[in-house]
Amino acid sequence: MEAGPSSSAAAAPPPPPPPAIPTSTHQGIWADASPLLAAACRDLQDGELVHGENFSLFAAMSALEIMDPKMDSGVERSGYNSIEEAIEDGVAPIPLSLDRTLDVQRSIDVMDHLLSCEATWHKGHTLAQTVFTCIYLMRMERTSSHAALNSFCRILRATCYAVISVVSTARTHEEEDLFTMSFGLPLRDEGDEKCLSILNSVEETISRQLRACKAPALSKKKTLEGLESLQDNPELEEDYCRALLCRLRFRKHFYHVVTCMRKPQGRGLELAQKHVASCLTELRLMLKSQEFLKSQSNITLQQGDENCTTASGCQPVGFDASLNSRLLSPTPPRAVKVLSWSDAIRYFEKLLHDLDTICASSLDPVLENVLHFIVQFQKSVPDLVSRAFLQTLLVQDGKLYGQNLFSDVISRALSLPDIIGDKEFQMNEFVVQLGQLVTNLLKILCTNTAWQRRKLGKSLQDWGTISIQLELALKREFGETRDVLHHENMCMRVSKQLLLWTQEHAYWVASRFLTLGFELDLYSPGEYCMVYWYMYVVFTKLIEKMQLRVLASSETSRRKGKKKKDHSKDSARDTTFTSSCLLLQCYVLLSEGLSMMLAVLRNESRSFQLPSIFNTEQERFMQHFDLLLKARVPEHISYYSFKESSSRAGIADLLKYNFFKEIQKILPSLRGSFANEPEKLAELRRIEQVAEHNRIALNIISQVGAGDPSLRETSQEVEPASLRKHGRGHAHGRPQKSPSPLRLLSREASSGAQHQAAEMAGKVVCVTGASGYIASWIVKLLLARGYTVRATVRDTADPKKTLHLTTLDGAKDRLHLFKASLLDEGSFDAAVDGCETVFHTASPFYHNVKDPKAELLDPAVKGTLNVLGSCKKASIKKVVVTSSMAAVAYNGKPRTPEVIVDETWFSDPQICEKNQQWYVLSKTLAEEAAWKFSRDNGFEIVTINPAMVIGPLLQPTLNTSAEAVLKLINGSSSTYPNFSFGWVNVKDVALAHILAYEVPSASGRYCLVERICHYSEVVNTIRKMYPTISLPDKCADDKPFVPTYQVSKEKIRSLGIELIPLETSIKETIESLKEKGFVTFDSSNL
Amino acid sequence: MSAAVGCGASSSLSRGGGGTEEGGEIAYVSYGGEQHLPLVMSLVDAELSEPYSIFTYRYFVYLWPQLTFLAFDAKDGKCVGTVVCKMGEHRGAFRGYIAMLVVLKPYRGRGIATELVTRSIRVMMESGCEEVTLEAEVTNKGALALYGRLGFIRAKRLYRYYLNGVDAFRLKLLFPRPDPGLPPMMIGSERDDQQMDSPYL
Repeated sequence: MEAGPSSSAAAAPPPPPPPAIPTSTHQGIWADASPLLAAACRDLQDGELVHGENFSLFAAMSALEIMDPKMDSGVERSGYNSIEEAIEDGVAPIPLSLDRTLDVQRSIDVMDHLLSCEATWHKGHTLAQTVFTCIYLMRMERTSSHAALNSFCRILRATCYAVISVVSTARTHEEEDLFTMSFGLPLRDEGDEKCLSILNSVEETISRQLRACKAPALSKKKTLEGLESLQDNPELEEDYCRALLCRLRFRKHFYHVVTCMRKPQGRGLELAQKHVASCLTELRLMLKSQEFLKSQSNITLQQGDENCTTASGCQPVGFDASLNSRLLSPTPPRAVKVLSWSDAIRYFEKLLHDLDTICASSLDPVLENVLHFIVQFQKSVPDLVSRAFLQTLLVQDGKLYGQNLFSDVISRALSLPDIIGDKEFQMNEFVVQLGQLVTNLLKILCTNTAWQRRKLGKSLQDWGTISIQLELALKREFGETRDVLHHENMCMRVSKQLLLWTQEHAYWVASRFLTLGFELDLYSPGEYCMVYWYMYVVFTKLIEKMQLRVLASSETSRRKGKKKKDHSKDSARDTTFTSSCLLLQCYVLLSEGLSMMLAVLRNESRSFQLPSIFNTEQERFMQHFDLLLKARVPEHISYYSFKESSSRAGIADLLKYNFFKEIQKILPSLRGSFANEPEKLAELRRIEQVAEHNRIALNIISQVGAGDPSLRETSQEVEPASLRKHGRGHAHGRPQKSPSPLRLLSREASSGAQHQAAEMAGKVVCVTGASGYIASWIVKLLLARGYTVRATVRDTADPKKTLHLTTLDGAKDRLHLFKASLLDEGSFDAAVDGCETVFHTASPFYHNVKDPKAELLDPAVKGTLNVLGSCKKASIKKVVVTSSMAAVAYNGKPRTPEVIVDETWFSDPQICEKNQQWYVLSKTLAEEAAWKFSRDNGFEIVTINPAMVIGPLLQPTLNTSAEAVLKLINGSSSTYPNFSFGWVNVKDVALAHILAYEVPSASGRYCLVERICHYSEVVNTIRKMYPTISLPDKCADDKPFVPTYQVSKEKIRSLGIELIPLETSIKETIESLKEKGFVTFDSSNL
Repeated sequence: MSAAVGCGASSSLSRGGGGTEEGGEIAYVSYGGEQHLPLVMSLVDAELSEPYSIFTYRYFVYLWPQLTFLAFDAKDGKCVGTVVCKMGEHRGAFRGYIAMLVVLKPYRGRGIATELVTRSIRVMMESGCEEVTLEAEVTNKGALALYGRLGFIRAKRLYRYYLNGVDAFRLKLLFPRPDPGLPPMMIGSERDDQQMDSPYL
């Protein structure tokens, strides 16, 4: 954990005493300002900061951090004040030793340590703290008399410079910026372009020395003339020559690799590959030289060579780790541990293999293959340098590989070879934008996976936006009709295919985004259910779009009457297409199966749940998929879609659609088609393993039942393990595309967002009184499910009644406001005509009426008949009517804690009238009238009978039932009423309305009461959650508390609704009231 | 920033009131002034990997003293844990941020960190924060488990975020809100006579 400044780099010389403050320099006179500062400080209180126009917060922070040993990288560093001081002190002698043998030995140590430093730099530290801790490199002119060291340093510096330029050309970003920061170091100097020729001549000399010492004694004399040996000990000459040669040659070839890769055109990549091979050879020779170098070092290694930064195990001369630390301010010191020499060799081996993979790429211009190549490449977890090379290769001068226009890449992807090079296509604004998106996508895919995921998430917005724009343009230009195949023109075909292609790529990006979450460990097991659910949705969409695109393009080629030889090409492409489709289908089944299995475990054994005091699963869902939801990838997805499909999943469904068995059926044929692709076969094996594990798990669950306690442990342990395996396997797989029947997580009507969107899109429904509390929620849920909603309000021009509706998701396209009033006969005709169903919610609700007939009874009863009349005219088959518990429970029968009220109860109008319960009466009469109308006219109604409805408010105004809660918390009363009410959450009420329509078997009445409780209990519940709010603490009268009773939940459960607990509803109501500003709590109370 | 906490499986959440808790052993105190600063600093310096200057501490405790809490061992008065936070506008959202959370090793696994951080989060929530964020090292299993239980998700992975080269997770807690898509509402208290709520009276 500790990363303080104490753990600094290796190889620091013993610290000299700190230098005294110089009294005068050529820049001016130094004076002691301490007394002045002390005096100034006396005016400051603790915690105060000096603040001035030229002394900002940042300056204050920096000032405080200077001299703080934890923060100031310049302070408390042992070492020299300047390079010159170090050189004067003999830290970096030239020659390295007067003993010529020792000089060679030490030069090799310097070279080795530099290699370790270079690898450390590549791994993410600053150049200043790694390679440029070398004094020889910092003052290279001093080395000119030392040919070997000079040539090595020069080409190393040139290489560093070239690598920096590649990495800066490629997209870099905050975490990797360190790499390219040069801090004003001497990175370039005149003569660096000659580094190769200098190195060549040194290499030549040493090879001659090597040849000389190997030559037989006779000819030795001859060759020795004019040629000095490398060092003085003839016994060691050959080994030292070899050790030096492989190090110099490695530098030479590596420099070639770096420069050749910048020129992919011509034979650049081919040449680079040759140099990569040579580099690897020299690295092996370097390793081989280690034994000899160790034997000469006379050092008994204490730490073992795993920590040594040189082959010999000796500390190198000429390095000072603290020299450049002052350059790094104001960033706090970053601890640098230089890699060991053997790790550095391993690093370079990996780097070279990665570069080789890049060089071997075929410069294939088919985008699909390019994407596959990058994803495949990222599997080996390449480091920054190779990723930067890949990126600069892929995108150069705004073209793919510097040679293919992205508009051509797109037209190729659309299977429209004819428009390659077509100027009009190239200039099309959508094509230009898409080209930019593809360019960005390629760049993003080359970054580290953490950054990649963030960028992909953000780019989804762009993909989503352009999809919508394309769709709108298509509609605008060619109308809404889809069935125009016969006379469609080229332009329309291109637009359509472009749209499909864009949507497909939006889903591709989404699938990569989701799978990377597994690689990065962003999901916790409790969230797997929703993650797999979303993956399933995205994969399914991806398959669908891909199929449509391929269908469209084969249509194009068929109509063009292709020549015969093209057909064979097509069929080969079709086979590839089919097998990648099937592979993706495996992933669809896998994510669907896993999600459903987790849902079942959760529903039946209460494992994998996400309890939290501060939020709910919904907030987690919204956060994880925020970017996807915002980008509408896909449309009409919300937490409710997930909740509805998962909350009903039962073990029977799981067994019915045995997803894992399905996968095992697909695999054999896939194995055949991927017989020549080992990486694909490995992927298939991983899929098979996961499918098999989960098939067994499923068998166990079905035998013992999901609720079995023994299973709970097994599932908690075994399940996530296999899931992670899947996650990994999957993350590596290219999210391919393939056809699939749309399969639902749960086949119950109303579930499965996918299905919903497809089936409900275009269904038109009407909501009366839409600005009201419950109705707003109905509208919101309907829009989220893909319906087109006609909303009636009395005044379409009043923003207080409509703004909260028109700003709902989906409202822009699918919400239509209609003006209608309950008592204006026929005023609902226009809104209702052509609807699949009507949700009739309009009915007044308030107390304290002066004229009950005019204010409550007429609008409720006549209004209901008015609306139903319009429905009858429009031949609507089923209407959902908002009634109330008021129409159920008031029949004079006693209501005590053991009484269970259910749907067979009806309120008695006479009793209501007698008690002057006008609202109750209005609802009772209205429902009665509705049933009579239904019987007389032979059309079906369903009534929803909720009690006191609370929960979040969508509308800006206060409604009566929320007011009941508000009165308790706003300090307006010191007592609470002596009533017992039933309570229910508005979200449940709204959902019940929709399910009453969607579920074909739904009929009759549905009572909705989560719990009946006395006001005193409500107050206590609030007090527990909000201990600091002052609440009424006395009952309004001294009579015994009005007793509670029960309301049956059996019927509403048959619609699949588990009612939200009262505590949650109260909390949501209070938070909503707070948010909307109906109540504020004085924070001093808290 | 960071956290050094235990992975107490038995996290007892949300107990009201102040004073001594956790079996009568630990007392929780809101930041009370300069005398607490050295306690906070020494705990964080000793347990967390990132170096902070005194400025950093002052920045937090002077601007948001109500979000800093300390835990004391009631027996000997030793400070055994602390949480330091801030809150403010961030890209259009009012957001809380947990900067430092520390509990001394021998005291971990007893729910002290959970209690400390829960207190801060509650203040944030009541002050109108929409969300709370923090960073934690990917290797800090204790902290990740603790925040997971409180409803945080791992929103992002931050590559080599810490000075020691370790990746971090950005953790986020979103508070429930009625509807995220709505613009600020006009406040009105007049009755809407087309409401159709339906209690019975």
